Amino acid sequence: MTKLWALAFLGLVAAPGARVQEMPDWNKEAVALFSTLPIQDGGRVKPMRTFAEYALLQVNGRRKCATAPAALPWPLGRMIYPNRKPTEWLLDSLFFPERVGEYPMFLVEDSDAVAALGAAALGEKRGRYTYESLAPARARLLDLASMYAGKSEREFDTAQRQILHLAENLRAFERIVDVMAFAHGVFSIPPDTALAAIFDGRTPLRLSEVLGRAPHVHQRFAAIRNGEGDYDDDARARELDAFRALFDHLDEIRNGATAIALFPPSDDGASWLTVSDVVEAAFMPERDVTQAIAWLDRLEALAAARDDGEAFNAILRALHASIRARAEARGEYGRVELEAAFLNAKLFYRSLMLYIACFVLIALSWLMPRSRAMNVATAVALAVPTTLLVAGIAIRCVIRMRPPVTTLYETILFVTAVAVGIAFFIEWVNRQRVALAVGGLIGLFGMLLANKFELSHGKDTMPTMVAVLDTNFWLTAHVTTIVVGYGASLLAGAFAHIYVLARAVGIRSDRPEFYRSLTRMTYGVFCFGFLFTFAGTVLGGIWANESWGRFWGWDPKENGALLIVLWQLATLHARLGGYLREFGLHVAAVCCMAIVAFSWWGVNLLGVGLHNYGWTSGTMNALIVFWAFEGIVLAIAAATWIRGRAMAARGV
Amino acid sequence: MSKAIAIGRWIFRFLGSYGVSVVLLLFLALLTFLGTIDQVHHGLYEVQKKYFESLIVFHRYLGVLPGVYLLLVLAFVNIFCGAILRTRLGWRHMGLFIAHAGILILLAGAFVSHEFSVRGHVTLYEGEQAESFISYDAWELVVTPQDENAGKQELAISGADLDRAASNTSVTFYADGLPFDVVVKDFAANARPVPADGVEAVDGFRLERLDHEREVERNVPGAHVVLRDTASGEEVESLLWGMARYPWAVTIDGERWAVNLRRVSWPLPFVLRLDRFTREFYPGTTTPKAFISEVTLLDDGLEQHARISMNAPLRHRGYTAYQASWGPADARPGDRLYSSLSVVRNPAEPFPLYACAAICLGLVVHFCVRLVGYLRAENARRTR
Repeated sequence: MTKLWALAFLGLVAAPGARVQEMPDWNKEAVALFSTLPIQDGGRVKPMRTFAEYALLQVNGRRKCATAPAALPWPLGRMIYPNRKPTEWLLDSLFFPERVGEYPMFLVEDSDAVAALGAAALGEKRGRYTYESLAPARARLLDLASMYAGKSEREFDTAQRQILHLAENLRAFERIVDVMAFAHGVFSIPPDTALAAIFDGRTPLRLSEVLGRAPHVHQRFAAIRNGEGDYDDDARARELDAFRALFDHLDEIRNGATAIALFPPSDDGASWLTVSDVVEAAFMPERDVTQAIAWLDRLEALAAARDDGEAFNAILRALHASIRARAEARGEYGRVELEAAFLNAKLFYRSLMLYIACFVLIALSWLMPRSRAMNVATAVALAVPTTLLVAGIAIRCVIRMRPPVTTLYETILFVTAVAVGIAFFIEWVNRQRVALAVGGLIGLFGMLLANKFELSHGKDTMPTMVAVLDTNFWLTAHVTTIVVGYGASLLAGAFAHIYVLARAVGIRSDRPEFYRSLTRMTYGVFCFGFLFTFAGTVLGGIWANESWGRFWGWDPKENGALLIVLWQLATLHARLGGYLREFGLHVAAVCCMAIVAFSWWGVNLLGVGLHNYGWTSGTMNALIVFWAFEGIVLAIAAATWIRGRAMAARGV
Repeated sequence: MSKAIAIGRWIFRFLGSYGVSVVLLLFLALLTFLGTIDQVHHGLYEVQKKYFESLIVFHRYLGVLPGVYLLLVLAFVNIFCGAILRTRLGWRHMGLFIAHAGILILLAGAFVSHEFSVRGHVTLYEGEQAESFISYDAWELVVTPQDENAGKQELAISGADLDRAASNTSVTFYADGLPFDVVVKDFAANARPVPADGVEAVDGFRLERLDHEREVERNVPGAHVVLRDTASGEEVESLLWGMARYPWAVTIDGERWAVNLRRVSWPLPFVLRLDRFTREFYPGTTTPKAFISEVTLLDDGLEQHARISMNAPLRHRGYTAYQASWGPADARPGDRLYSSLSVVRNPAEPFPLYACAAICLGLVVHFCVRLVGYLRAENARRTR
């Protein structure tokens, strides 16, 4: 109904340039079946849902895609052209490639750059372009990108990086569309040729039909080329040309359809087959791809039934069951559905939203300090997103059969969970509501960071582990330990922020007990963090000795961890020696937070060393902002301290 | 006399004080930071030499700083003195005492490793075997008699000694039984021979000095060497280069000698044979899944099969072999592959493990003692 109204309104407004296009909505069953279709990608078997999620993230930088240029004012445009979710977008791309070309999904930061390449620029400087609108610029864009390809990413300026990025996205999209290109086309076979005879004169043919007779085609071609058969020269050339035309077609598919390995192999080989692989293998007598060709036939049927929901579902159901059975027989389907469900549940995104709500609630609760109901409400408001977060981490562990932390992305999730978890424990012990508030804030920042990281990376966050990391024992012993240390150190730093800022503003200055309690929290968590960073660092050395033959190699990541440990040790000894008291301890904890940021993210930016797994352009700016903020906090601390000394000197 | 004792006690207290600990730790942190940042512009090897294995560091902006080596020695003294000064019996001190003992073990281990461990590699094609391993970065100049004298003592000049000739200053080496002196007229740690003429040319070539590589093992040294007959004073000269395929063969007084600039190698007390090397990738990707060297150890007539892979080294008679790399990089399926194994002999290898166990145990004990105290205090506060 809303749609109808919107359409009526559209008629009145008559937005220029907005083309109304009928795009069928995918029904629930089709989406569900398609999203749990197992494929092999990035070295592991995963559901199509995962592929769709990260393919769309890479191309569009978001988890959804608009279906028409935003010529209409929001929210009107979205009512008429609802956004596509990842699986729907992938279905569109595979089955309606001509219409997906009209989706605005390529983010261009500077429209002058694409205008210079020959595309018609949008009004604004920054905007999302459709594939069609970029088509005039495509050739030059790809040329430029291949020119840059030899250079390392650090040498680029912003404009070059954007060009390269756009070209990559364009190619990524084309590769996806090419996967099903075969199913939308047919081969025409010239009549009355030897080739036509192989297919009993049937024409046009679908790919599966051609591949079903591939060995014959090859045999016959070789025979005619070798002079067999009763042909004069012209006739022979004509016969051979017919074959070559077919081979050219097949080559095009073979070169194009390489993006998704859709078919589990019939033998016990490790690699699943792409359409391209099937085309190639069909001509090898020693390979048996009968089953894969049957699946190709079903895919062609799917493409033909794309406008008929019922028929489409029926074919997809059978295809899904068949591929699934093969994957199950190979022991590779086990966690596919769990993974699809995990992505659909969007646990981390929901957790982020709930942390935001929790933060608002906490802010309100400060206005009602004596309300017991509010206390319970905030605790629950913090517990729910944290439970989602922990559940998400646990499900990821089950899907991957790995300990919770194996990638930079997972460190964010785990650090957040650890910090909030400890905050809960402390709240349970001292009931001051400070820990609760800090926990909420850390949860909020942590999940924001995780979300941002995932969006900007646009890559599967459950990658396979390279050989040196392929050891669950050491991943658990070293990585998990040190990341617990990071989390605790950050929490201690967060408490210290509260202390310093409270002191600076003079909150509850009549209650030294409040400050003493904060100090106890900070100190306790600081020591806890130290315990884990220290143990984690030494364990890292022992792991390094197991895999590289040296305990310590002064690698930047190792040094980063050591820096935290040394700083914490210096702080603890300074406190024991009486050089640091309450205030000093908190300042040291704030500094420790800055050092943790260096170790966690900063050393990755150096671009050197063995642990160089997290080079992320854009991180630098965020880090600089963070350090600048810490600098301001330290300056406030210094000012507060000097003021305190002056007041003490005056005997106030 | 009592004054001397008082001064001694003061020094001891000072060395073991928290103040010294804090200063040492802050300096260590500073140097670690500088040494990390500097790796952007300099290779790890240089940075390690400059900051971490040195007694004194000259920094461009900060002036003279203590090196990490010196700091660690002082830290050892500090912990040792501190332990004597402050250790008491009882739970409150037990954890920290154990942890600090662990750190002393760690530092002692680091010292032993740094001074006494040897590190090199064995690189073998499938089917090949080795009885020695070769240094990654240490070079030597070796004089070997040929012919019937082949068993005679050879002269080996270490890289450090060669370095004394690095700035075009002649250094003469001689050995008993050698009928000639070896004069190293010039030495460059990274160089290549280039065609030249004029006075500096030797056989139509001269050494062109190159910048040191970021990865020290990529340096290829060159030397300008003169052999001077001790009896007649006659001289023969040649340029030696690390990548030269053959040693310099020279005849003096009718005896044939070979002079070779080569990487240092050390004998293994056993024979290592590479039977098979396997590399696995995740299907459809270039992400390495596993590198496995299947080897046979031949020790005293006994054969023993073993698999060396990432995170699973082979340990035998004080030597440890790790999977390091493989090649050729452009090998196609079915090509013969080689595997490069890092070989380390480190008398202190297990020290970090003991240290880690002690430190973790100590810290956990201490942390638990303190946590119980904290919980009691909080409980008391809330009941109040």
